[in-house]
Amino acid sequence: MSDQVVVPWDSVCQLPMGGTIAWTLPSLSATLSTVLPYPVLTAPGTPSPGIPRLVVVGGGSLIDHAKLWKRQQSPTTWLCAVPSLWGSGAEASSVAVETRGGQKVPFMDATLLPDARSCFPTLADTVPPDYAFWGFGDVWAHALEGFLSPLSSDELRQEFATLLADLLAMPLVPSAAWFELSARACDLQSRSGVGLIHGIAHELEPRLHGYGHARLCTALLWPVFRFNASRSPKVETLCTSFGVSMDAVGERLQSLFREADFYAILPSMVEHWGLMIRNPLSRINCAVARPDAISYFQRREFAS
Amino acid sequence: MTNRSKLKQLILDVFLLSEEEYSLNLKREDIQTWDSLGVVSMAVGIQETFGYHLRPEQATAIASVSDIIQVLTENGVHFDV
Repeated sequence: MSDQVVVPWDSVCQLPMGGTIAWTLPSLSATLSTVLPYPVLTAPGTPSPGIPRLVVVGGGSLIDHAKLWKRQQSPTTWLCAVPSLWGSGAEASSVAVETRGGQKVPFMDATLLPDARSCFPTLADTVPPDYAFWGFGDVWAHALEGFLSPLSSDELRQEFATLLADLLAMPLVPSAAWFELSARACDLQSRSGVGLIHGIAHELEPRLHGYGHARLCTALLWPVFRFNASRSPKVETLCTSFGVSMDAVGERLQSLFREADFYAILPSMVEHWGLMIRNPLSRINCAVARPDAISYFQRREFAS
Repeated sequence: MTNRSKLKQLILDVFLLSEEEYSLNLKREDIQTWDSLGVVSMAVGIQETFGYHLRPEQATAIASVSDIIQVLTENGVHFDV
């Protein structure tokens, strides 16, 4: 487990007024100002280096921005990350992604893990329905690809299996419990690996307007899971060994599948398949993503 | 499809090579994509294709196509001469 501390929201609200700043998105500023006793700074404003405590409340991009800000400009600041949306798990990860000239540049470093994370339950009610849905898919993608990753260990897979059972018990309805599931999925995944879903998503993100990471992962979950199961007997073996019901997982992934999204991205997948199978994340997939594998998706074999 | 042909196709697919680049004498140092990720991908592909699970130390010790054939032969996978 990581050294990160999980802080109850009540305690975040009681941090000393002097030396604490909250940093958030314009859309959340008013809500936070009513519950936090310390100043609330709104992005794109940036905190002054050297402040003792920073509570960042936002999506993955703002949390990653705060993590990089701390590392580059204010290493002594105590950073507490509070997600406004589940999925990325940025609050529980030592990876931060910065966008430079339209390209996403990942950084990985233990110092990027926030000192603490918390959950503001009220924010679960503010997530727009589509974002909530894509966030569910993003959490599932981290949990499933981490579980099946050839880089995972039996010990980690046991933790993933518990997480997958919890996810199966969780209806696809917004609730504060998704924040914790998202953080657990990200924490575990950062200690194993991801795979083809993320390899494809990372290549498509800069090419497809309107299709962010979570939306792409959600669209790819069911087809890629079926692809992996059709190519590698290991998928069934691992599920059986760790008590994960493939049928139940498959059913849940199908309920997260939006055909229109998948068919909107398929032409780009076909066009850039060569790049996708060269992506480092695709190369550590649990089944080999071969040059001719694109036909599996084109022929919609996952639906049969 | 013979095991020899299956292995050739696997090497082409995993290391993203063209037909012309393949030979039984191919060595790790000849292939740019036979890096640490390539080792993982090769191990996954060998299990997929031949049903044999390479242990991590075996996967990292393999340095050529002929090494793969040797490991698989020692573990009951037959290659036609």
